[in-house]
Amino acid sequence: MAADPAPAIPAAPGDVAPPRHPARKALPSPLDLLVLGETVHAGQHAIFVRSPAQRPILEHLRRAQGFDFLKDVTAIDLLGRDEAERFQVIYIVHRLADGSTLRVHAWLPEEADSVPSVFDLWDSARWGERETHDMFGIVFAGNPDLRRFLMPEDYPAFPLLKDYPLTGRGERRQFPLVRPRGDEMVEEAPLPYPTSIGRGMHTPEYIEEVKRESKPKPG
Amino acid sequence: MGLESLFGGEGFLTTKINDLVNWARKSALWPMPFGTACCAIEMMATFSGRYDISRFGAEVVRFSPRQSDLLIVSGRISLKMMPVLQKIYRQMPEPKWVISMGACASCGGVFDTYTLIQGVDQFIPVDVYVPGCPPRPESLLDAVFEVQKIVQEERLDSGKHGR
Amino acid sequence: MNLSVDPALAAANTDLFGLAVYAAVALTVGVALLVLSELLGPRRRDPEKSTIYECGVPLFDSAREPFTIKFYLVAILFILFDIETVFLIPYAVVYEDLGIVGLFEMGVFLLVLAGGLVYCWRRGALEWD
Repeated sequence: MAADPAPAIPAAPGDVAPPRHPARKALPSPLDLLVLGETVHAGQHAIFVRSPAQRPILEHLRRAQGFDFLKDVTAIDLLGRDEAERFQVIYIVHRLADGSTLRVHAWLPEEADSVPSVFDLWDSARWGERETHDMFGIVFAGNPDLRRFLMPEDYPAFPLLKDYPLTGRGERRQFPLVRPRGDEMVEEAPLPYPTSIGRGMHTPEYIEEVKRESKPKPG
Repeated sequence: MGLESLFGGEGFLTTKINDLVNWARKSALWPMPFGTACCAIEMMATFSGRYDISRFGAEVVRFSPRQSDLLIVSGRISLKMMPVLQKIYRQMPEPKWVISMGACASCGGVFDTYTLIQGVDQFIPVDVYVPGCPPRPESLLDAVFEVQKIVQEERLDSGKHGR
Repeated sequence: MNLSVDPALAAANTDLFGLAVYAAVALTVGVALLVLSELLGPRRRDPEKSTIYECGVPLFDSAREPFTIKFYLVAILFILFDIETVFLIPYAVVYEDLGIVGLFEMGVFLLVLAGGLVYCWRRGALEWD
């Protein structure tokens, strides 16, 4: 993945530009004007556009330049970093004939309604977009089946957003406790602590106690 | 109905029959492997030739809850998988025991995230926990021995299984 | 030499005695398993215990949908040609005694059934799709 920060504005004239990917060089000039910039890192090229400009560029890459394999559709949430727009939707396209790969990053503001879907260009986009929607809440306009994918159907939030806590908001405690009681199996409310093992073992107090009570090695 | 009423009270015969039944049950524990992740690989290793679990009676590994009495939960259990696990557990006939194999099934392991259950014992009763990530096959065999000890101590009319 | 058999044990010499013992053991084992389960088996009521097993997920659809008649056709054809084989096997045991006439009769039998096979074949009964 590129470690360089993504330029949201074109590089100023006089800057040394990174070597261009041949696919970018082959873009016709109306499409080339949409590209904000390009980065290279470890041999991987990435071009940056503003949504929805990635749609005509991807169409051109698919139809005219023969990038017939969409490796993935994903997104990055840049909340908290000083960027103009919150999301980047990333398309990784690959040409099987000669193995060249190009990443297209599309900047997406938080208030945008949707992103045009590319499922008509590559079938695998159906699932890539579904997963991106499941994790970030980005709506892909035109995708025929934008359901939850990895998370349960009725999950209330989009987990990979940066303002969603890693441990969730209590969704993983929603099940009943199935236990035997007498001669029937009953469903009850689960016990108040998260798990019987390791309860409180991550607290500083516990770590202090362990340090205090561990004996020094003999000799 | 119970063994006691049949024989008119506790005695030598009921104890012996108790021991015989417990011996039969522990010597033929049929596992129901509920393998979801890496621990399942170690479980498969335990079931195959080198660490053979069928030497200890647990030979009939059928992926049907109705034909098993030992549920081995091996692997991470996610939010989507928990109702499935509960349903499978409830579809097993009595008597049944549960081994929670590995760190993830016992306490969530290294994955304290929004989607993984931090220990299946919050939602189904567990008899034996096996630590490890993944536990070696010898550890799983040790857990089966622990379950066998538990089975040997059971009383037919204890009420533990509703009798 | 006293070659007479004790009449009380005469029954044990017949073949049917073995069959009777076998039947008695089978019946005893079956009944004993059920009775022991009833006496010694645990009981715990659980409404979910008797739900239909579909790998732990709720049922997708009913199991009572009609399915294709191709299975019936395959089964019937199998039975017919299996019975043909069943008749061939005792013939193989006695074919020397039956001589050339027997060979001819068996040939007619096989030809009739081969005609049936050709009919099935031409009518498309052997096609799965």
